[in-house]
Amino acid sequence: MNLRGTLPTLILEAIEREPDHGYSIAQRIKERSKRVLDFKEGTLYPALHKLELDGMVASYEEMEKGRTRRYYRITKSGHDQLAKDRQEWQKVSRAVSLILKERGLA
Amino acid sequence: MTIEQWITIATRKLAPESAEQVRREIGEHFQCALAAGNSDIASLGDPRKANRQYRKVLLTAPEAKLIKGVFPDFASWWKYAILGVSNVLICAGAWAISGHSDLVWRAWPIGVLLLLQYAGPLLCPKTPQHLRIWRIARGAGFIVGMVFLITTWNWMSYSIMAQFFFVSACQIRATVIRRKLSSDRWPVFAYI
Repeated sequence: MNLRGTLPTLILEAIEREPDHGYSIAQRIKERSKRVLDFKEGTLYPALHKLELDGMVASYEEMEKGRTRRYYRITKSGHDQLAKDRQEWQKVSRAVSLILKERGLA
Repeated sequence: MTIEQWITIATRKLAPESAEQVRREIGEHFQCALAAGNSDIASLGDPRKANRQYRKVLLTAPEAKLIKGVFPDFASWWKYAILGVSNVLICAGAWAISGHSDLVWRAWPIGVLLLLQYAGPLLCPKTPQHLRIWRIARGAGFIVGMVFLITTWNWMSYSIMAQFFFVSACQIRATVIRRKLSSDRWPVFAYI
């Protein structure tokens, strides 16, 4: 399932508690959604760059097992954006559920 | 498709430093996937789609060329400003010689308005509020300059008009570049 436009929110959610690197962020999103949200991993990095340009995410390099890895951490404005996105999503989700219930689909 | 082929397609038309960044991060990503027992390139998705997305957030080759080639520093930007003002002076002289002395007085405000278009790197408006004020002043200058030039209606005025449009074209490109770089990495002409 591909939910267009939700990837930045899912990334922010994935790194909300601790910084992480690209591959792990992708796996975390897939595992937490029980593989329902199966996005293409090549689109993760452009989304991370966009978040970084918007100041929602900051990155730094760290050595791990002899390899340099880029880690991404959420910033203060990233936290604020995530809170807004959560509220927005709950509103949309409630509205869609209401419509589906009305038609007897949910 | 091999990982190298995927990266080649995904980095098409990107600036060399952007392409290197993509190569590093996708390479690192793929190494992690291999270590986890997943060697399927398909999980990365369509490289053309990734390329389209990368071009929106990373510098492309033409943009990098523009920064390095046309306006690498403050001096080269001001060469264009001096060229623009010289153009106005030549027009004013031509109008005076050809008996259009009524048009000569217009050269002054036109020259000032054209200089205003070039003044960005000198002011370097860093805060969003200053940038907004600067854009409004520059936009108003552009409109008034155009009105002056159109009402002047002389073939010489077209060369000045071309100068205004040249700065505007640079401004549009600068807006795109500003979005892709953090403010500490803005080239001098990104302030225009």
